[in-house]
Amino acid sequence: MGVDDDILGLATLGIHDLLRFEKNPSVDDFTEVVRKILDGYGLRNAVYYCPTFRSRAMDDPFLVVTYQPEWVSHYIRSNYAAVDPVVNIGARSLLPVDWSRFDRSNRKVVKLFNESREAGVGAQGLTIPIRGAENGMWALFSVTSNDSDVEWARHRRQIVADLVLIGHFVHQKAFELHTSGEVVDLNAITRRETEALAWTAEGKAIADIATLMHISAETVKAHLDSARFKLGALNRVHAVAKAIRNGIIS
Amino acid sequence: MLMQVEGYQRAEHEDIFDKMFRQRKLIFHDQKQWDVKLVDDEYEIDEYDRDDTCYLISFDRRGELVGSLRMISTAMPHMMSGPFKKMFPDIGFRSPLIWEVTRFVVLGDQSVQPNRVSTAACELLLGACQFGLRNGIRHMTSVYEPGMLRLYRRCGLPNPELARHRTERHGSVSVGLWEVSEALEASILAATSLGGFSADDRQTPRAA
Repeated sequence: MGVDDDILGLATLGIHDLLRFEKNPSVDDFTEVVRKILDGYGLRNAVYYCPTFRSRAMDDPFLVVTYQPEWVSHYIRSNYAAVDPVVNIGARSLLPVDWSRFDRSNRKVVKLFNESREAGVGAQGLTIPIRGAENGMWALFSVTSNDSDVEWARHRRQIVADLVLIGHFVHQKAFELHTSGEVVDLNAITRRETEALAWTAEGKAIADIATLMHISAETVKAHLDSARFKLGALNRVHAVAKAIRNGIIS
Repeated sequence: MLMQVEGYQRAEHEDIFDKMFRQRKLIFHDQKQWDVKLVDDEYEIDEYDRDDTCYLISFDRRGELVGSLRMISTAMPHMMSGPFKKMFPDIGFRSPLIWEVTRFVVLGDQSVQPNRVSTAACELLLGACQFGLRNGIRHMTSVYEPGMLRLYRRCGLPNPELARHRTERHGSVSVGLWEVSEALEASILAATSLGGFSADDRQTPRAA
């Protein structure tokens, strides 16, 4: 495999863990995988929230949480989803949103954030909104941290792209759980993406693949990013493994 | 001054959206005579102007709207996966880390930077890069006409060309790809002399 993989804190989660996880995961398996990812990034907690799968609703979402169960039941009992700005903005926007940006002039919102802090949710938070794979489907992936404001400003910028990927990966797996079949979109993978995957499988580094394909290193990365998403994979190693398993490359 | 808005905020900023869509009509329908859809004969709006679409809008010193551009995640339906698909069959990016820039417009800006490009165009290109840095976007892709290359170069952007297509009516068009990085931000800042801002200073400004 190429050494210049693109997604940082995954030392805690190997390819075998990932492939095992993908086989009919339970909610506990989701929690375990998310917990391992958090450890790799030095993050405190995470929650994946999807109220829009078939048979789910705002008050009965598909949930993967690493918070204390007491906080989750308190949140649900207090109907906090109705006032939570994370849910309110995340359901409309597609952009990652830092919790420090929420308007705290609403007393209910202040109460919610104070209580969540006391419950050990984490001092900082970032939410990644997710759309698709079907019309009207949305989900939220949030992570928290106990970084100071200064540390967090830097840390967030380093990890936001990875968190976007991780959020979409969790969502793709959760979607598969609620439908029959996989989200892998084999027809959408282009000739150039297949080529870039094949060279990655040969162990070539990005710079070498660029030379071999007569394109820039940046274009190679974009083709691999794109192939990864279409394959429902988390990192390049995983994308190659899934491409081989699906017979796209040999 | 640059402002970032999302499609779902249209009701909140109705005037600004109306002005932007009117300006797009002037450029893309009246001047360039592209085959674009009009709403009420007055606004250029298509199916990619959705709730999840993001816009950067540039205002001059008097507060007049002098330019805009549109950004869509390629994980969602976008122009390269729609009307441009036939032109570029080998390119089909789909990733939440790759966003598409379309409808880049500058009109009526009297202010020019030392690189002889309008302040609005410089601000919009810098803004797109900083938008990417803030939001975890690794690449921006765009379909552009050859005339844009000189503008990109003067603004410190590398030649982005991935593929070219010859059209019957409008000459050739190209699809390009830029890496969003702090190095690119520094390059645009240096080329445009737009000093003083970093990406984090520009968190969703309110309406002017």
